Amino acid sequence: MSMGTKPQAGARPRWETEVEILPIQSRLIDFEHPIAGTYLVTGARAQRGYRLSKFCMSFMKPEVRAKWKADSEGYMREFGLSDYEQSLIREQNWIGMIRYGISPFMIFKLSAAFGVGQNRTGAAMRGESYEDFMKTRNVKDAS
Amino acid sequence: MNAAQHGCIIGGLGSPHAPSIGVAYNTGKHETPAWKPLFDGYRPMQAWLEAKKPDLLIVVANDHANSFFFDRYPTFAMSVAAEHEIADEGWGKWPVPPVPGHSEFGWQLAHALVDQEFDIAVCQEMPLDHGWLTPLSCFFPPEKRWWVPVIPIVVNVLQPPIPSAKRCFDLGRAIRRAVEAYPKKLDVVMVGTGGLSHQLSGERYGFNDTAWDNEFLDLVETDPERLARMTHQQLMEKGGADSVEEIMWLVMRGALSPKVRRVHRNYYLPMVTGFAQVIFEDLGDETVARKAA
Repeated sequence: MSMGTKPQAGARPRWETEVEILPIQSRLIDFEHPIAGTYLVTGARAQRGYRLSKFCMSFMKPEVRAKWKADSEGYMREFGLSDYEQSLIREQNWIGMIRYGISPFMIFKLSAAFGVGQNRTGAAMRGESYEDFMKTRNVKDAS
Repeated sequence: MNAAQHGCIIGGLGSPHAPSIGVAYNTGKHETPAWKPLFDGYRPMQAWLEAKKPDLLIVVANDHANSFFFDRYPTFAMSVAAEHEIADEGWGKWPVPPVPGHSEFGWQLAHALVDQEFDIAVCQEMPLDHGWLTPLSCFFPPEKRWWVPVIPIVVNVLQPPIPSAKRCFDLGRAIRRAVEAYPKKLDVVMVGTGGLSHQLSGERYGFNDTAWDNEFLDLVETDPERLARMTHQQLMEKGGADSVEEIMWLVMRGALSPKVRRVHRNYYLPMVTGFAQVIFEDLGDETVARKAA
């Protein structure tokens, strides 16, 4: 997957949506038996997510945050994100990004630019409303 | 207190490093009911540091994609810088002064670690993120920042392959040897940071297990080598994917005497992460001799 590859209209390339990573042999992590609801940033998934991760990372610069505020669509295009990557961002599809290969710490840089807090991204990843998620926590106002 | 003219590990601290904690402290929320049970756990740590007056803190934390990016991501890294800037994590810098380092011992430590075949990346510039700033902010109230220099040690826990729990424990042991070989008075406190059970991504976001967290706290004190034998798979299954950062507590524990005196332990789970604080006092090398005998 070269960085410049543009997805074909219609059919989405398999590498964009496939979640599984080819089993890696490791005595420390059992890649043949992934933990449900858990997506480690490694292997092909980490490589697939690299460009979008780099995009998230750019939000450490105040000038990027200003540029994003002024013209988010323009900044995504300028960065060279694929159509699928742009759609993940536009839809604030946090779980989609996790499956794609983005570390949550990258996502928090981006979600902050949307004014969305960490636990709101988490509730969305679980497929719950923020209110329902908060009901499962011990203390409501410690965030 | 160590009067000897050589380096000495005097104790170890365990602390979470979640950014919400540092932000709550720095914005004066520490007396609110939601936060008080946690911040009350920092008071004994503040008092202990005041009483022990260490010359150096070695703080083990992980980068959160602020000092490093996946273009080149070190398994282990350390800083020899004289001073550390505050990282802008994506929403502005924390309003705290730059954190002093310890270049002289830093270079000595780097050499000692590589001599012992711990091939750590050596950094002359390392902006610090909440991994360091949260525990340091809580150990040192605003008027006390920062009277102790800090050597940051970085462990990759974000992008597997992640170093094994045993490797982290052994890194702690190598740090102890480096400190003890230093031919000047240097009282060192080791700090292991990280949340206990938590998972910040996927449908399993928000996973916790308080019983396991308490077992972890027992084991890190009394039987850390059992933890050092655990795989990342086991740690993640028991405590959530991000609890794998508990391996950084093992660096701290590995630097201490086999037996330690626990003088503080606190646990609190308000939201998504098991927060724990401990103070372990070092019992010196006689416990090593006793074990070997």
